Amino acid sequence: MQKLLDIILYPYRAIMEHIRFKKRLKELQKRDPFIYK
Amino acid sequence: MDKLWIFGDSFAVGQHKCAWSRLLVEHFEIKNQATNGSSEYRIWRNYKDHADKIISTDRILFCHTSPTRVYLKDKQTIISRLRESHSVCDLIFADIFAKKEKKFISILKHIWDDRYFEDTYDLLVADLMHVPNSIHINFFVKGPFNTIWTNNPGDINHMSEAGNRLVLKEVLSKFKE
Repeated sequence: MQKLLDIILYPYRAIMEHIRFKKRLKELQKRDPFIYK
Repeated sequence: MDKLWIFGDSFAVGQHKCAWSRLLVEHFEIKNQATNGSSEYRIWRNYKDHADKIISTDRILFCHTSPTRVYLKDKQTIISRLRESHSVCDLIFADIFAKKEKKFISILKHIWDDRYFEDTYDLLVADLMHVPNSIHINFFVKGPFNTIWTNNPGDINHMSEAGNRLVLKEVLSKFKE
């Protein structure tokens, strides 16, 4: 049952993780804003 | 004149004649080992590589960096490393994403974990804190150095000339503590 649930929820979890990382990324870039030109 | 070893990131390099780390030459014999874009691991490693040359009367200044920088081994190429001044810089999120370095964006996405990187950073800093005769500064945490940076932005170690003079003053006062 758990395995089935994991398979069904995989795309949702992957998208949620991507959204979380995107949000965190903005914070990380703000903390260390250096871009070498 | 006492010898002062400096280990740190771009805030501590002495390329510009008005850089605070260069102005210290009036007070110390300077051995500056800071490199642009250093991660905390690189700062720690630079210190370890030079530790056998440091004698008990020498002073040491550590300019700690951001915990969000990721060490990149020396022979790896990234666009920023093509600049002579940044030949051993590490991975900085803003820089890697701005330059669309796909390979490293993917690596960072897969390996980034807040707790792991903060814990390992804290361990490296804690180890350096035990170094005798050392003082420690950090521009990334709230405090006098962060205030000087944010209030005096510029091109000399990310600060204006006035900002560099303020850092010099603050550093000298730390040596008197």
